[in-house]
Amino acid sequence: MSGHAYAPEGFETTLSKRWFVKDGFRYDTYVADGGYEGLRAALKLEPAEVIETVKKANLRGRGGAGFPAGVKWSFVPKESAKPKYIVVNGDESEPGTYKDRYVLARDPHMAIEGAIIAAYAIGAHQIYFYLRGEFGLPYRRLVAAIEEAYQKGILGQTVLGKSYRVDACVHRGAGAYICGEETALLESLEGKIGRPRLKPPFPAVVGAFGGPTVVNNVETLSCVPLIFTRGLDWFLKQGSEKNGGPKLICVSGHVARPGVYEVPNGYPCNKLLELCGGVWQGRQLKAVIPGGSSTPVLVPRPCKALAPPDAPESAWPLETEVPLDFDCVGRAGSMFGSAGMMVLDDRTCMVRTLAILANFYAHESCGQCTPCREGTGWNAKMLWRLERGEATETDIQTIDSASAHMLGMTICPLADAFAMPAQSYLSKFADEFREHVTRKGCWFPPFELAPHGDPFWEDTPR
Amino acid sequence: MPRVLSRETCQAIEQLFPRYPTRLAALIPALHLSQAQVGHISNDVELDLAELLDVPPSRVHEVATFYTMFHTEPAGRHTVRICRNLSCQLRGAEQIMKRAKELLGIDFGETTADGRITLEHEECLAACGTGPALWCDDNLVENLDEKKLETFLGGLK
Ligand SMILES: Cc1cc2nc3c(=O)[nH]c(=O)nc-3n(C[C@H](O)[C@H](O)[C@H](O)COP(=O)(O)O)c2cc1C
Ligand code: SF4
Ligand code: FES
Repeated sequence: MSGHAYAPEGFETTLSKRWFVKDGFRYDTYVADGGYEGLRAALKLEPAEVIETVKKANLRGRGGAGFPAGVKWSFVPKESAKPKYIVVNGDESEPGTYKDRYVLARDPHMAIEGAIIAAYAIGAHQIYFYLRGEFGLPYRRLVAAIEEAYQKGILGQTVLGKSYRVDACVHRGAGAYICGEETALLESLEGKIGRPRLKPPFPAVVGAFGGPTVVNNVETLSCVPLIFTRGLDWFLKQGSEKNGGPKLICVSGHVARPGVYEVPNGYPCNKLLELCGGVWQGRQLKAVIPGGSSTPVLVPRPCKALAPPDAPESAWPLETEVPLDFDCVGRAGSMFGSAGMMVLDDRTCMVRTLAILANFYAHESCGQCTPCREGTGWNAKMLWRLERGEATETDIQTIDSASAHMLGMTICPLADAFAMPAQSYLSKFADEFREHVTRKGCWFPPFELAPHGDPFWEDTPR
Repeated sequence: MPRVLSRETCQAIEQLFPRYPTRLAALIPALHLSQAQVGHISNDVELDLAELLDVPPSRVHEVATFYTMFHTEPAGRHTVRICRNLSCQLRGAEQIMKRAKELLGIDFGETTADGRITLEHEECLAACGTGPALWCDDNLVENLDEKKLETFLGGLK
């Protein structure tokens, strides 16, 4: 079986394929399906050639920023007095994002294989998997898979018979969104509180325990073996311009069939929504948050930036028809981020939506920058006042300028991760915000309890 | 001599040391192991860990209070953490949170009188596609409705 119900018809799935196979998480299943052949191929190349290949594959980081993985690897100095490290970011805490959880629980060997290739490429001998503390099944499955890999001679003193030592272990976090940010993650790995570091120096030069470190997302590394088994041409064809490979997209919210969908990079957003069975209960689409809660909202309105230069307005595609890759979503005014797509129906209150998010960012701010610490908390308070009908027209302007003043003022992007979406809600739904003043509060119904989703996506067995 | 940590816990912690170039790096895993034994991170736990890892007690305290998974006060035998973030809310988490309070007769941040359950809010659990969701005893409970919630809570001893 190559395709499945959570991918476009006729599309050959590779990242999520074994999620649908019994015992897909076991070493034997993985190897029977060609697993660890990418590693075997990569080990025949010089490390520099491995990096060059990954560069050419246009593999963009799947953790949020979309930075080209091969380019990041090439920043690691060849010679280093301190040990180098691969740190796998399995913190997965961006609201709306839940793909790495299945990679780790249902196909952990693919991530392990990618991480070993990365280690070999940069000259590292130690891999740390940093998993959020609330990952139960993913943690247990990954630990078991690492154990299997040691037994099979894939980790340890030699890798597939080549004398190159690689060790791997799993480090569990303990509940803090900010530890997904790579430098906070490194602090946390070192046993400290998760406070982001000032950059530069970048982790590629000074990372974990002072050594050069590549931090990559789980999905990013899971893509790497494919480049070496299927080849560059195949990988490039699975994606769009400058966005190589397949992509996992987590769809949640008001769709008929939420789930993690595997699509080629550049797959149109509206077609993905169709795959999801459309907006639930036959309702209309109000907005799409494309890449996790930290990304600006898209609406079904014509977007000039997505049209060819001379196209008349009648021919502009809608924002919600954007091809889903880092560059196109960027052109549409948002970010593809961690591909945590949240879909909002026409009964959704945008003030309440933003207020819920403001609470989250206020709760998760590490507190070391004043604009972030004060700004998120203050905005949360004001937005709930607006939702209850206790705010004035001037308060909305203050919310607007307060979030604008958080932009680009802080050590890490968490403040922007609230301020950028906030700005988009305020500008795209200005009338709705204002009406919360004139109508003295919210007139939308409460969010209703959804019918059950597909149990396929639940963690089993316990 | 450790004050509260058992021999087994101390040994499990010591086995972590070779994984990292520093002892401090073992602190978060060590806190997990300690909480599993003691139930919460008490002052004595902090002092034991400080000695074991050779770091100042203030450092241990700072870390134990920063991360939300560590209880610095005694907690119930089970901690039920219900996600209140957007995807779950869009699918009715508010109703689940309200029902949980009614069923347990406590508010968020509180523990039932029999010491059975501590109820907490949680931020996104990476279960957005199967929300509303909660996390308890290292497992997710997903696609919650009121019935499923009631059965689950009733099953916690
Ligand atoms: C507040 C914040 C939270 C983040 N959370 C995550 C996360 O949970 N998982 C992740 O892979 N990257 C996360 N990132 C992005 C990382 O900092 C980093 O860019 C990424 O792990 C690099 O890997 P990649 O290049 O493979 O994407 C976060 C960034 C910020 C600013
Ligand atoms: S922006 Fe916020 S989360 Fe990031 S370092 Fe500053 S205070 Fe901490
Ligand atoms: S929003 Fe509840 S699990 Fe993600």
